[in-house]
Amino acid sequence: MASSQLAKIMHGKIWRFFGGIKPSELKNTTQTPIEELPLPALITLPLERHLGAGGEILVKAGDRVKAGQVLTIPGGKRNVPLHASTSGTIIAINQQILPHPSGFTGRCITIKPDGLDEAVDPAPISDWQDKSPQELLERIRFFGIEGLGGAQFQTAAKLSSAIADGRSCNIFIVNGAECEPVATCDDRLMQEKAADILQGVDIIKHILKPKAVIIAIEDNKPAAIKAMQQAAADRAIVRVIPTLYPSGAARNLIKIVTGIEIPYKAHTSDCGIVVDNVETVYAVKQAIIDGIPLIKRVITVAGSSLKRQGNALVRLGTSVRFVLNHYHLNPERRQRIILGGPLMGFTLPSIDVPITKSATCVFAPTAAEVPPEPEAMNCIRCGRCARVCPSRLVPYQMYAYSKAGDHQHAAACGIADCTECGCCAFVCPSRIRLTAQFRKEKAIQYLLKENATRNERARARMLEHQKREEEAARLREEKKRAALARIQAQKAAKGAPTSAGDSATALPTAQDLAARRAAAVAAAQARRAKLQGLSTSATSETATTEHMPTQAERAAAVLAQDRADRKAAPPAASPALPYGLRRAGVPKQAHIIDAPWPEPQPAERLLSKVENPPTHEIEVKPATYHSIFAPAPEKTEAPKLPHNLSKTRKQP
Amino acid sequence: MQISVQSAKQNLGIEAAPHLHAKLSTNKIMALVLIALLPGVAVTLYYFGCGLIWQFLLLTVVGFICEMLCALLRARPLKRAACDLSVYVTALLLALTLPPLMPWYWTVSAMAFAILIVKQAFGGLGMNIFNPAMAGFIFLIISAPGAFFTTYIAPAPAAIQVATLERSAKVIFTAEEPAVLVQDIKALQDDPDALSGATFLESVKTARKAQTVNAIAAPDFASTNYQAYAALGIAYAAGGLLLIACRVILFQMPLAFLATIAAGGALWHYLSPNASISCAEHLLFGGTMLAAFFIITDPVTNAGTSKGRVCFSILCALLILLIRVEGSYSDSVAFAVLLSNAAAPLIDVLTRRRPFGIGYKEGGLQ
Ligand code: SF4
Ligand code: SF4
Repeated sequence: MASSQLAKIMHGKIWRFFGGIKPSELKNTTQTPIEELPLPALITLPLERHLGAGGEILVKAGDRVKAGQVLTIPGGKRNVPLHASTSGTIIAINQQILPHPSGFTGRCITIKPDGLDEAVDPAPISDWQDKSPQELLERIRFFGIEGLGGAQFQTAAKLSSAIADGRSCNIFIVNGAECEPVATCDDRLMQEKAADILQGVDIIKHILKPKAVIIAIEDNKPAAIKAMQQAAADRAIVRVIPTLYPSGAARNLIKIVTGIEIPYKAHTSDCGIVVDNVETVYAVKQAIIDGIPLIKRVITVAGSSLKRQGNALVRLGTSVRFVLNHYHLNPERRQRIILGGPLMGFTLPSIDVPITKSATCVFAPTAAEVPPEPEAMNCIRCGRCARVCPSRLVPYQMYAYSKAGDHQHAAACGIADCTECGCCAFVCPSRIRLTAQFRKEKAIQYLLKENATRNERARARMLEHQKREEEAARLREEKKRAALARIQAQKAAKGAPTSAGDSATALPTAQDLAARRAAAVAAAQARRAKLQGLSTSATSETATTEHMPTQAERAAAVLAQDRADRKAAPPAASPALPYGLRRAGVPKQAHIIDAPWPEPQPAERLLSKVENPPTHEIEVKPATYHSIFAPAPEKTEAPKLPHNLSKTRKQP
Repeated sequence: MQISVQSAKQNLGIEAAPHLHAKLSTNKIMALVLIALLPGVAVTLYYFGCGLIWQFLLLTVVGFICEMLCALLRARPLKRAACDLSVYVTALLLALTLPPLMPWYWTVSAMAFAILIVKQAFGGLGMNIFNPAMAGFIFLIISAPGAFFTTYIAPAPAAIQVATLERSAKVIFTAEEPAVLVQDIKALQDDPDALSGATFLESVKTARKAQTVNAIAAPDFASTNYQAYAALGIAYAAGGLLLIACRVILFQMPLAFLATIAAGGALWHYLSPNASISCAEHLLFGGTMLAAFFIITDPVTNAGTSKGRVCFSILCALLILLIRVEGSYSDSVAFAVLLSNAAAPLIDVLTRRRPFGIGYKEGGLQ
């Protein structure tokens, strides 16, 4: 890096990113201390990010678990183990509703807490300064630490990719911007746990060895800034940045703090910059210095429909309903419960969903606070959306293409760069649901791309098949030709004798036949001998003469071998889980620690960008136009009724 | 009674993110534009008489009927079409640009053309390529140039007392000869015979052919002959500043537009005083101020991004100068606006944005 750039950064220069908005902040919980919620009646832990291909669940229904106990061993490199967040009995491992805007279901482990809240013994690493980064990273991954700012990207993978292949990390940014309105959890955490966060920063500094550590905080959090400045002293730079949504998005924050724009194709850690949320850093500290896995997180609970508002330390897996009850929800008609902030979050179709690591905020606004959306009007091309888009896109153009079903043009407009930040829909005077359309369009693009690759593969297979067919046809043709030639040659050869005696050639004599049969038998025997020789040549020459072992005998031999093997090597200390963690159920060998360290695959990024891609084919209809002098075509298809209400009887 | 299963199950409100919205809505924008035009309306009433009121009412009614008709033809909800304020903005802009004593049938046909052909045939609000008000104006100036010159009022202070509602109505609706009223108003000026043509720009046009533009006495904007133009300029600028303060329009657009006209006009005047009028005349005559704040800032027919809009303003300003100095129509603003409208898609393509992260070097800060 240009050292002048680093000098500028250290000097405190602040860059601007393009666009951005200043929504009303609604942060009225900055003064309420974080309180720990009591134990909920049920804990539901989704498995989706903790299993992956080849992962396994270590518990079964009926098992007793303690808080902090490992419940799964993940298969994929990008997943982390799941930890029980309180002690109790596992009552089910089944499909439950996930916190998702469409109310999708997924596999979850449900724990009935016993109220004792016993925890496994903490396993602090007191001498972490002497440990290698690899060991610390393993601990961070094994203790389930993922980005708590909302993206839920695995922290250890992020950190390790910044130092993999001899790369060096230049700047480590602690993200305390918290630009989302309503959310104050990071703010409160910085006010209350500044020293702990700085310890976490020290650990990450030890891992990454960056040239600079910058804690970026928006200037609407004076208390947090003061606390962090006091705690940081000269260990890190506290950079006060102007309040502008979305300055907390990683790429925008990097632009503000370092002046570098990292395209959406590249990883931020590939270019020597690592951004982590303050709460993640705090979790890292807890994992290493306190030895406690990530089983609780801070969320902001706000909104005028609640009697009380505040910041809550909740166990992961607590249901939203429990949280809302604790804050005395007084719902209005068609109450909206927004998980995540009011700009990036989504309304929940059901409140019986668990709080996960990605939830930052539960917002229950009244209609007065957040008015219901009016009907959208036509786009008047006012250009406001284009003026605020931090990705420098032209949303109204993209929207028009997307609405018209012109997916190529929408892609050419750069829909892949859209972060779904919601700035464009925020400012749109016509109240067009731009961001929602982009979310849908991205899913369609994803599907189209999938279809394209699948088609490509099918075509390749088809070509191969055709080639094979042609080859076979050619061979057949050749054989046929050869056979014809042979027959003709025979005919030509027999041309002379035929004139001598027809009967002799037409009916072979008995002698002739016997000779031929004898020859065939001899040939067959020779073939068999050759085959047997092949299969047993490894053992001995005489194998052909010995009788072949029967099926039963062979099975018995295998079993005996197995027994002998096991006697020779006693089962290698079956609960091989590190850190003295107890494993429930069948002991199985865990490969988690020996696995080579993961390297994030850029190719996979697209997959992770579209959350819950639609599973069925989306019908992509071309736009239809009709003359202005003809009324719009009547909708012929009857509105779909649910199964139990469908009109089965047809009118005669 | 049929119970919808969906609604029985669903008692939580579902909406797409983001849930917060900025205060400004499309109808508020339109209402603000109407309010910002009020000073201009007041000045026009005072100096040009009450014809404006009749014109505006006429245009509004016709516009409303046309909108309803189109909504019916296109099977769109009537209520939404009725709530749309943009047609009133078009009506007011057209009323401010047409001569106040235009016969009613011309006014009606101009509005019908503007709404039916220029706006709705392209898809209605937000889809039109050309500015409807300007297109309606040009429709009239090409099809009825005579009516323009007979009904044009040379402004004079307190014209509102002469051209009262009844007298204007008589001229507009009952085909009474407008010349009498026009002369009556002209009599209010200090020097009624200063100009040979109907308007200042018309006289300049005829003078230009003889290369005697500098022989025309420079207008004194304090005199009653030209007071109206200065007052109008100030009124439009005040309204424009209101729009800028409310963030309805970008301040860069009028700024670039006026700066280009001022600089270009001054330069041209300096180089060939026989062909071009001076800078102040360029700015105050021919609706330049109205265009700067209300017409070129029309979002629909503009280029998309801020950069594109500034380019659009500069292009429009240059076209105005060119048409004024070299063209054969004195109403250069309308033509220039339509030509720039046609160029807007091209400007959009030329000012395409660089994508996020361009110029990023592999490895970044390594
Ligand atoms: S903000 Fe809304 S109305 Fe304005 S250009 Fe964008 S989409 Fe169109
Ligand atoms: S949602 Fe997408 S298009 Fe809209 S402002 Fe954000 S990044 Fe730009």
